[in-house]
Amino acid sequence: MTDVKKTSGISRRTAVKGIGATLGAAAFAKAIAPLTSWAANQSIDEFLQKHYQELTPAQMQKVLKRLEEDTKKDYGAEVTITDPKPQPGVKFGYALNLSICVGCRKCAQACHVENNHDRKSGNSYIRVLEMKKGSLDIEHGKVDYKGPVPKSDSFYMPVQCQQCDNPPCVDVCPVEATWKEKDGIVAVDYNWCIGCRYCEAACPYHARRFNWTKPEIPQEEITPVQGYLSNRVRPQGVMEKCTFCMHKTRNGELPACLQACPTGARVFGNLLDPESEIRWVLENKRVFVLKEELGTKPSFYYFFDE
Amino acid sequence: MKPRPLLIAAILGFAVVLCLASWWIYQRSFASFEEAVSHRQVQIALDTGEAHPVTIQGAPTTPTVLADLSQSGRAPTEVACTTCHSTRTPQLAQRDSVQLDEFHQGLQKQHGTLSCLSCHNADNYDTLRLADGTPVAFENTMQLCAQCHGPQFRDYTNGSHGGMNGYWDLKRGPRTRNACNVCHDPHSPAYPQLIPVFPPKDVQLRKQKYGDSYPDPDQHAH
Repeated sequence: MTDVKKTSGISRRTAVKGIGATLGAAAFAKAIAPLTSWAANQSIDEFLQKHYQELTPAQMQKVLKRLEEDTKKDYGAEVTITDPKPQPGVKFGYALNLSICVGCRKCAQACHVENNHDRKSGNSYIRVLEMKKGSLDIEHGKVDYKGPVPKSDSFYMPVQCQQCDNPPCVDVCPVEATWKEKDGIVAVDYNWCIGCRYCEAACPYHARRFNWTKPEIPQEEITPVQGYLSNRVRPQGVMEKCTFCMHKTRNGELPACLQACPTGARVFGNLLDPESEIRWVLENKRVFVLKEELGTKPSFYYFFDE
Repeated sequence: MKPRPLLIAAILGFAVVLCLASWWIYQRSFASFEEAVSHRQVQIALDTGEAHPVTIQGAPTTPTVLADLSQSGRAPTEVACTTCHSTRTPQLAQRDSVQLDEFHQGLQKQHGTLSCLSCHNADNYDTLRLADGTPVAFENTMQLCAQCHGPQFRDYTNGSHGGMNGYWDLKRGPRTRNACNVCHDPHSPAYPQLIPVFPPKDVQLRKQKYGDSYPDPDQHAH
């Protein structure tokens, strides 16, 4: 009997083993299949890129060049990405005059355009709340108000990142992809973020946004002046937030939302310069911060004209 | 009582852990205050370079009025005030634009109890006039407005009222600011109502409103 088996070529046991091995290999191949498309989306350089704070200037230059090329490839737009550093002796502060804000949402629109947000999602770092005069109940502030503004019984409160001195979003990040810069801006390394959205949950101001999809922006609408930590086109699956238009303000320019404000409700400047306009506001107006009781210590102040 | 090396080691270890923990808590809770205080003492090295200019834009240089020439079969056109007023005697008793027949039709005045000549200079219609009679060029309307709107003027000069563009850091670049009349028509200065742009398309917002089967906003494009 044993001789017959040997001559028949393949035993039943071997055949089953073969089928098992084939199925196993197929299952393994299927399981790792996403990796092949992942490799197409992400280069080795991108995968191995260090944390922003560990990049040497030379490595940074390489990264910026790569990102510029990627933007050219993905969007067809010629952009310049730089990495402006905090200026010594500068801590940014923002103040908003609620008496003259008319709720026109031009700031939100300017933010959307300046920061290269996905056109379809209509993303903006600024939400303008409409509240009844005499109340300050931001939980019931209406965001999707319609009709001519300002309504006589309402006032309008734009809310964006408050650049807290004690930011809860930074504390909860498991990979330290977000941190506070020397000039007071809470930054995100979009290439280091793993998209867990803990920071979004931790932020009491609803100031963080998630890129659910790869941003779709027409080539001609892409803002060409970009910063690594600010308005460059974000990858899919990462968090982003207002950076006080770091790519502009660190070069001395006013942020886009302020430039778009038709009434001049917004005041921006250096908190450490006693001659600055923001300091004048802090010293002469009765300013308040949002959710002071949380101890987040915002650098964003609100005030009403007396 | 004989010494217990294990117990001593445990106590020492506990003390070390306690120190580290309190240092950690201090760093996270109070060190930021000290940091903030020490920041104030930082000597700010301001460069001595010239500050860039702040330009006031939008103030008219040649005052004109929109003339409705439909009676003579011509399109409406802007006419300089002096074209007529150099030859006509001003009606000093005239307080309301509605009664002005030629050229001023449709001019709404909703500016308190002011009369035309509270601001316009009857001696020279190319200029304006302060309350004390001093003529003011049209480019300097700010001075005129400041007579009554002191708090607004103060806030304007301190940067917390009135739209602007350019640089926050005047050592690095110039800034332009709007004149009062860019936003406030002097004849009817209340800021007009406008339709808000850019409605929010927040996913959460739509879910709250319509439930999970929220409609895609792009399907409802008008």
